[in-house]
Amino acid sequence: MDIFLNALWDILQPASVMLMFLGVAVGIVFGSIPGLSAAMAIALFLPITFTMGPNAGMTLLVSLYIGAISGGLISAVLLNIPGTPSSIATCFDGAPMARQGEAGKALGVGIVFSFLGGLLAFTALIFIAPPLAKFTLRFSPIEYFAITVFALTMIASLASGSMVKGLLSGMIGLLLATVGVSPIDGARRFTLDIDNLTSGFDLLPYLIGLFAITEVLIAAEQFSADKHVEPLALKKIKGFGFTLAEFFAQKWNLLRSSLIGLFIGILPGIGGSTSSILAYIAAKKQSKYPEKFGTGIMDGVVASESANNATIGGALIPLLALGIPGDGVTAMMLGGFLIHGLTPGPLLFKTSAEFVYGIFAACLVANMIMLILEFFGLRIYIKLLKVPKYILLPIIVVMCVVGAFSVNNRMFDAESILLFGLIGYLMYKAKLPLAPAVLSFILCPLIETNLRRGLMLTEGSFLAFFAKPIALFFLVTAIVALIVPLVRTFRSHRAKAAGTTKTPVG
Amino acid sequence: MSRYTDLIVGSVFAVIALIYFGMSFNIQEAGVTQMGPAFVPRVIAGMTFLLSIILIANSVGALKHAEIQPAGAEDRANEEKPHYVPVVLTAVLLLAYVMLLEPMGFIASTIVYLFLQFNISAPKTRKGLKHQGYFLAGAVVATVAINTLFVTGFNVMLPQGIWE
Amino acid sequence: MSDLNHLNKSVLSLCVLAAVGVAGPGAALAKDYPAKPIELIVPAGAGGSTDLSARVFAKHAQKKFGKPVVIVNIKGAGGYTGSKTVYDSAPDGYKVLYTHAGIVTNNVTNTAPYSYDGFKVGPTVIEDPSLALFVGGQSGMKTLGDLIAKAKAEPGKLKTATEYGAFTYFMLLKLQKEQGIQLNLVDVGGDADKTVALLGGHVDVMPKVYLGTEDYIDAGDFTVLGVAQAKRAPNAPKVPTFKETGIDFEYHEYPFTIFFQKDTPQAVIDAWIKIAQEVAADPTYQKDVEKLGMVPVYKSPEEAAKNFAAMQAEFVELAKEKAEVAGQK
Repeated sequence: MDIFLNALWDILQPASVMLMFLGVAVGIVFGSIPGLSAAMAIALFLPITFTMGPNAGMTLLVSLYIGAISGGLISAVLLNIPGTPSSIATCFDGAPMARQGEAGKALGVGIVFSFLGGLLAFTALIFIAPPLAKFTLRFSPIEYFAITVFALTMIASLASGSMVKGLLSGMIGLLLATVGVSPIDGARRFTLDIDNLTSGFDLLPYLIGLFAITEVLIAAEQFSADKHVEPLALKKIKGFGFTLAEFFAQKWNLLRSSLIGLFIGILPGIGGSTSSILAYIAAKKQSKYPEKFGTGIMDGVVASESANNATIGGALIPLLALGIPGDGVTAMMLGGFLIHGLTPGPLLFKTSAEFVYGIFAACLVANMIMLILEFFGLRIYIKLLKVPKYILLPIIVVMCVVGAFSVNNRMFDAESILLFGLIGYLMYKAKLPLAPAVLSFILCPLIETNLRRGLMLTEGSFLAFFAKPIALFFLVTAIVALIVPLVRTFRSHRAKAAGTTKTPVG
Repeated sequence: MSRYTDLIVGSVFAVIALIYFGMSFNIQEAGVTQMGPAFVPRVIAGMTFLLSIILIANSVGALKHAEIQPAGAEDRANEEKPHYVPVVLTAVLLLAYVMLLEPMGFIASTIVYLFLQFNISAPKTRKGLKHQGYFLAGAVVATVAINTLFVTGFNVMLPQGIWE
Repeated sequence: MSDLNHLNKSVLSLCVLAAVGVAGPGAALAKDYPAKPIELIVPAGAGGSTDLSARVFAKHAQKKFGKPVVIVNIKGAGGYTGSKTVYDSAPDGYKVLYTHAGIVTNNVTNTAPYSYDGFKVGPTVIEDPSLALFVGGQSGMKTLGDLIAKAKAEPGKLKTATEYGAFTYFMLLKLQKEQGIQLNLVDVGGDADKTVALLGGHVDVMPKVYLGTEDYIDAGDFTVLGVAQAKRAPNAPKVPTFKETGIDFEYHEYPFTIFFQKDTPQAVIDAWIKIAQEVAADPTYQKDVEKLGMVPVYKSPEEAAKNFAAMQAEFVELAKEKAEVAGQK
């Protein structure tokens, strides 16, 4: 504990606090602008950290990461466009709240619960990182397959209207995700002999297209109507915009969502976008009023934002305790370790304890700074709604094009956002929900890769998957999750049919 | 139209599933794993086809149902009619923008894009000469700011085209 | 959409061709090279070993060039997307590829239609000769001999972590062929995934570079069997060679090398040779590379090309034999 307090003291020196304010502020900007993401902020600042000392470098990266993940909620709420992939689920209820004049409250809720989700996860990181990291070692490709299949079946419950249409939307994600070379053996699939399609579609352009460009096209429908000029009505807010009673009503939601975020964060490769969507679904399922989800209630924002910030803490656990990066962001942090001559691994806690505890302290302080900056920023962000959309949206389109381009430094990704924008617009016209298409796109390669790897481990036997307790649990839960709502819709169909003279087909 | 939406959606998906399934036979098997690279796509094609058939069946059922009890006519009147002209203009402009970005360079193409898009998007009352000035100034300022930030700030090699 | 873009590109490249034609062949342009920032294309994401080593090299190279050397990450399709960018670029030396054995393996596994010889090979600037074999600390195996004996006792049973078509995959194929053993090769993914797989006991054997394994060896989780080199690796001096432990098995160093578009003028390549030599002699560069757990070197383009040719011939042969065995099954 002494080491930790020393580290905390070091972090609280004016120079490093200044650095963290800068990092969090830049992170928030990257997070809040659609097209720019947390991963991009860190990739762009990584070379700069190489010239700093190891502690300062890591402090900056952690600040950027925390700022960017929470910053994503701003455009999710105000524009219905997730600022970063982790804030997709924040749109579901955050945007409807804003439409009802409660933008301030939605932001306030998002900020506070981002902070609390992060706080819970960082506490876990400090006290139980090594045992938690050991736990991840029990996950072989077989367990990963089971858990990702389980996550995929959750799209059935994401669909707000017709379940069949929700699942079909999920199929769009799967179809698009299989374009490009196949996992493991690198066979070209559905590339139509176009070279740029060899590496498939990237997640960020896919999201930008599906959300931002679609939103622009939908807005274009009303461009000639003059009512567009009217800014949204805004209710005045005090503090963070919600009452103490409302806050305490969310305590189980906060705890559940943070645990989901932490758990998904620990497992390499799945990420904050999945964790926030899963937490949203879990909150909806556990709720006494699931039908209100999606209409603009704070529960949805709480679930999404506490989960995605908890994922940061989770992702740092295998990195620090085992030296194993779980995603693009932690892989870049690992690079930061190496460049400063620190060897990551299980002994990092012993050999460079001051450094590790320095990161812990940085997480806590940066989280606090995020809360402060966004509390004061809140009143400024809301002003964004006063900017007419006909000015704001085109500029956002340009940021999206730049963002898509810089993912891989090629025009193809910038071009592909148009294709996805068009798909998203057609989906909107066909009343197909967008969220399932996102979740399935993220999960498809994970499922396929781990299925094929798992089969190599069991020498081709799929039945052997069920012999593993963790895999068995998730696979059975997945099957139940699919069948229960199917039976339920079938029954309600029957009931409806019985009420009329005609029996509907299907 | 809206009555037939689900029928159309279902049919489109059924066709996509069949094409996709057919294309899965073009995948070259490397033969290194028991399960080849075409397996998962075929499962996806099968699931998509099945779901599209269910949707078609459901919507045919609903259509029959609707013939007896015509409903939904009144809520269509309430909905504001979407204007498709600006949607198409915006889509075409976007396409032209990304196509010309590389040959023209980021700065030139973005200024043109922003200026034209402001004009498509703005309500009729805000398209006077004064506003044109604002649009042009806004386009230039935003473009230069973004370009400076990324090219000089972050070393992102945005296409410079004719500016090179 | 992409066709349109292609058309644009063709029109553009025609213009460029015309312009070059007027200005005369590249020689004049090459004289004052570099006249603007050079893009060093890294066909991998930010933060990995390829990216980090490229950044260290670029940092030192740009000081000597007097012009920025900008790292451009283009990931996807195992490095093909990045290498293709340079393959299709103008031969002016402003888009240069920084890659490794992946340029050969991509071709052998049919991901890329070209190999190292689709480019002009430049110097090798960094190497990692520490590719070693690891087993679990409790496995009882101490040397490669133990592993071979165990594999012979139960053929096809030892689960060995690999990444299909990668550098380590061909190492395992070579080991199987030379020692007449049969391992159970299972794809688990990259270095991080392999470490997890061995730690979690999902596999028995893992080939990996030494970096990041030291703690696990000290803690007794891993036993390192040796490196596949003629002499001990400078970045893993404690690890014996396989030869020292009694088995003659050697494999290639992992060479981080500069590649140029095929028609790049020799003057540009000479400029890079000069810079690479100067950088390699710089002690601060050497220290920076060592921090990454790699070895700073200078190998001439001829020497580098020879190494890649050797890999190409060997990997093609191994892949062919593997396919024949698979065909018999």
